[in-house]
Amino acid sequence: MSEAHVTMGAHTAAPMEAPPFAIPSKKLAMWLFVMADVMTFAACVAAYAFTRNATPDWPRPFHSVTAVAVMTVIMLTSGLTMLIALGAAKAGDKAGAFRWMMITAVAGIIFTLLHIRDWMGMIDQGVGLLHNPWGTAAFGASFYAITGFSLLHISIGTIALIIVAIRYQGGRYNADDIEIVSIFWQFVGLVWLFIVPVVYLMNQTPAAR
Amino acid sequence: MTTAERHGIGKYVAVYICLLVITALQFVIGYQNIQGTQLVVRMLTFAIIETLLVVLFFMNLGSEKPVFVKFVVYFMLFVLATMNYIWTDSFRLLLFRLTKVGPS
Amino acid sequence: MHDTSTHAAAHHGPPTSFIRKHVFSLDHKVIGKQYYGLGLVAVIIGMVLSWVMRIHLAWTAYPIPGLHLLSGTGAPGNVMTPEFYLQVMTMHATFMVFFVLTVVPFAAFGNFFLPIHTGAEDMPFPHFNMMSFWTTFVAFCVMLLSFFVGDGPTLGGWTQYAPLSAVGAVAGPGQGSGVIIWATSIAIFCVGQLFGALNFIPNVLDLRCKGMSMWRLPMPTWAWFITSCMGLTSFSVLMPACILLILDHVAGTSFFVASNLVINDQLQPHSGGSTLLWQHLFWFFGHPEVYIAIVPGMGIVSHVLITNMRKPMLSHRVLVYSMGALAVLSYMVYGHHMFVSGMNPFSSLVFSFPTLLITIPSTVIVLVWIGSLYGAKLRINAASLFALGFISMFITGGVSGFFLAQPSIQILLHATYFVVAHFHFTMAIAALFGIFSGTYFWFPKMWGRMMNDNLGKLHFWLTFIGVYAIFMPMHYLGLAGNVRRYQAFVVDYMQPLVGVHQFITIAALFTGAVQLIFIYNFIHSRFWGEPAPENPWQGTSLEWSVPSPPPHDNFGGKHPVVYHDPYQYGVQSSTGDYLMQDSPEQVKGAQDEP
Repeated sequence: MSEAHVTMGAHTAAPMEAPPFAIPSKKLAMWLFVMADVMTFAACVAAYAFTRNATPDWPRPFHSVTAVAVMTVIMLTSGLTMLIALGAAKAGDKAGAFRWMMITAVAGIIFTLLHIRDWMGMIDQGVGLLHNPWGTAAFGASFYAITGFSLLHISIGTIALIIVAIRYQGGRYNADDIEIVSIFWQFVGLVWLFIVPVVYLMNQTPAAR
Repeated sequence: MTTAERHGIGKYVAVYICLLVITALQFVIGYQNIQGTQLVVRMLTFAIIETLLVVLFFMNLGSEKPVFVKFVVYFMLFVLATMNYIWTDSFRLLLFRLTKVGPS
Repeated sequence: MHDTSTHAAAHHGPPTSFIRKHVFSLDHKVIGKQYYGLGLVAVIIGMVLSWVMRIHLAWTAYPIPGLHLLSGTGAPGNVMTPEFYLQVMTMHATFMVFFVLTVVPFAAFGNFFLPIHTGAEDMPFPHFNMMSFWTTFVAFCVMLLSFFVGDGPTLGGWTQYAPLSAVGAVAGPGQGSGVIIWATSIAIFCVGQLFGALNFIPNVLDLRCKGMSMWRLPMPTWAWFITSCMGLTSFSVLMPACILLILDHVAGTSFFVASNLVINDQLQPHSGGSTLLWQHLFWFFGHPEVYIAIVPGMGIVSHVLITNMRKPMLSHRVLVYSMGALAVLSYMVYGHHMFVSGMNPFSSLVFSFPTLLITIPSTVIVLVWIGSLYGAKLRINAASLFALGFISMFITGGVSGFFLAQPSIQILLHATYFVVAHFHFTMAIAALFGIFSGTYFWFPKMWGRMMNDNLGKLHFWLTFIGVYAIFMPMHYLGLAGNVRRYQAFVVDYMQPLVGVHQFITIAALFTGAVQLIFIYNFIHSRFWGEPAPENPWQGTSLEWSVPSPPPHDNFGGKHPVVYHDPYQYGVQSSTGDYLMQDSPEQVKGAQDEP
């Protein structure tokens, strides 16, 4: 029963049964959403993997992945700044939490811009949904489907970060809400950590021997 | 900042550096002349290690109650495992295409 | 540590404006009724569509008055074209599966009763709950729209098998805009159901009142909880699949279309995709979906039977474990829909084992029901009759499942009326009987008035006879090789079977007409029924401890405390032969979980 008091709040005096997971409902809902989202990405990656595995002449056209490396570093760093913001919020440092959240959001915006730049570069090279210079059309379609879906998540996450940060500063949200948006942000970062090897590095032109 | 919090950030920085190193290793592997299964195995092994680090530390699953950790981990592992039924058909389609028999 | 409450979000004052009270309501009870109403509209649409199909199948050249209103080109002279038959069939299945069988037992009853069963004042996230309904409503409207856009709704069947669903208008009427609308609607629907699951699971885990341990939750709440877990990870797979399907249409990609495909004498420009991929993604959702339709019915039926038997089931826990086993296995068996799809034959073998395995928890559930019914003095009323009907339908449909689980037999029976009979008995009619049982049982609580029980019994017997008359002969049709989804039976060997089809059509029209009794009973009781007491069935769970209908915050500002298992019947207490969950009374013979 003692866990009940951990999650019991000031809003109600109702005695409740102990939640088995002992985490606030909002956070639980975010975890459940992440689990559902994992399946959504898994379905996209499964479609890509199924097609790629079955295509004998799948191209490996990427010569330089420097931009992707930079984007990965930005994404990972934004995960760290998010955690610093969360730590500051939990310690009651409102200004610090707001500042680090905004830094995270800026990282998100830079990442989004770099991602769009990357897409523009691909489009300039003639990679479309239907055609690309290197071979099977499925390459472009699955590339844009997966990265586009991830990009959508990252842009939504960035917007969510800004909204939560502003409301946190205004006093409507608290450290718990920052923790929830942090879980989502780490999740989209994790998705990117999968996209880099699966979509970019495995399509990297191997060094000639 | 108290020492306890600095300790928390220190842990995150350590995980962050680990993630950077693992990702760098992936990039190195990407430039090597490695093909097929070998490539997939290496990339996914590192990606799974990264997943563990991110989920346990960055998403703080590690500090939740064990029963919740089990709920998330078992549920996800099981459902993701059942997605792997697709492979038999993927490989069969590859065989069709390589041998030019059967529908492609 | 955490300064917000787990149930802070469950607090909101009673609404004052009409819009907040009845339209964009945050109250889980209103949302439940909205879902019920949506299901009622959808079931009527689906039923009318099935009549149209049945009449056409039995008397192919017979004009159906007014049919041309449904389609500009599909029914010249009020006689269906073959394409329009398929469009009607697709819409029948889509409305029934998504907007009736998913919406009513799970979303409607679940929304209304799950928070009351757990002793909560509302769902944890009322705004998400409201969005859940309205998202689903938008999906419904989009689906309806397809009748009036372009050349009508899609004709691909509710499974939308690629490649014909992915190549566009060349594959037939409705395969262009119709498929896009279908896939859009279903993708929206998936989002709505995700919102639902995100409310149900935290409610069950976090918002249980004092004393309500997990094992003290009533059976339907367990069923809804298990169903939510399934919905969480299956709808989220269908959604990207639908988006990829839309991409194949709108952008011309080839996720689900193979190379060198000639359709209607036209070489398709697609290359590099796989038709099987769609089936894998679809059935990964599709099989859990079947259990999303039936498991809540199992929970409802157990609840109704226990209350009317006046004694607990043989084992409450075994039922819960079996429903959990069904949920787990439902992810492992989806390939049994694909035995003849050109799937690797090895996979067929692999899929058939868990498929046969799934009969074990199903059988255990049925045996627990029957074993508990043995020797019980069952109160016969409309709710308990429909619960018995559910068991009957589930057994009948389940037995044909044994045959279909084996690839060697299934290959012969695939896409015949045998399969039609099988899935209608298990997933459709059984689930509908669960809905009827729940409606007769909970109507007093939901609308505060009693339904006419005699009309209910009449409704049951006529429906029971009717559905057996419809679906039982379909087994024989299937064994005789009658293929499903044909709009007319002109092949020699099918000619003698037309008589059976005519019988089925008459039975279907009869059974459909019988539902008017229900609708009359529903509307009449809603407005002029006898006011319902708080606990008309002498039930024990928390919904019977509150007024009918329950007030805005369910418990009138009180905080219920639970002392007992949900089903304490056959004991001697001050109230009679039962002990309410929230009664502090300690009675000899009461079996309480620790």
